[in-house]
Amino acid sequence: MSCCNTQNECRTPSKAVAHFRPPVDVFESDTGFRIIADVPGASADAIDLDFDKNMLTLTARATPRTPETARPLLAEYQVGDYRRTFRFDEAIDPDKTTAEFAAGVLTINVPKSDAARKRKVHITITPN
Amino acid sequence: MLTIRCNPPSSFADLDQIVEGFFAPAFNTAIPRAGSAPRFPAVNLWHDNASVRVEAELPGFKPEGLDITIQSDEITLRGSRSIPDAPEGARPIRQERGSGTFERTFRLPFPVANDKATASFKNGVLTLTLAKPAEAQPRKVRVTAN
Repeated sequence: MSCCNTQNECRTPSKAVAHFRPPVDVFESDTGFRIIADVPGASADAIDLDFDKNMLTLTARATPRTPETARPLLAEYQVGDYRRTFRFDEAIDPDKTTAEFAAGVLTINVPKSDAARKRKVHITITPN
Repeated sequence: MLTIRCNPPSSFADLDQIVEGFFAPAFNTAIPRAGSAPRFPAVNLWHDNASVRVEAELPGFKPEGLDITIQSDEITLRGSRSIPDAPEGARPIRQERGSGTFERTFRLPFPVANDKATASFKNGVLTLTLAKPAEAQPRKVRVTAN
């Protein structure tokens, strides 16, 4: 699939993969990751988050909205499902993952596992 | 550290395109870069016998942050979206979503009555429904035999 981020480009699926790759912002803190994805046209009940070991696959279904009787005057983008997979290099906790959806934007909070957090040790050296 | 499968080879070059797309004035009058500067938002337009529908995907926008102007056969969409700062103590790993303001104007093949326009905003999709004037609607002409 072509790598694209702009809306026009993203709305043209490749021949091999019939889904769109949503643009994302990703943040990392000591406690976890926040992924924010633009998935306009999807609804909260049409979004799946699937974990497989250290991989998270986001799938959001968006059904075409063109009325059957309508005739196109201008067609600049296509409507279809979104999919994107993320791989984490640190241990994460899928069970404590939360997600919110509002106005076509999905926000996923993926906490790091306790083991991953404990691996980071902060040492403060106090002067004598 | 998080990495993304299918990592685009030039993701940050694409970020420039997003910003340019958001700030590009109507009808792509911005100086084109290599490739074509995308218009934002992309728009789909349909019509049937009585109405025209305009649809634009505007994720993260708020209805009160959108401005729609209809003047005869010309429709102008304006809006803005701000991206919140990184959460406290977090650092950005990937920033692909654009922010800023946009303005886009397009022309229909016929004038519409703006007092019969309705707009809805659901799941980040703006849908504008406009009534066609009577003269733009199809008419049947009955043939009578002498």
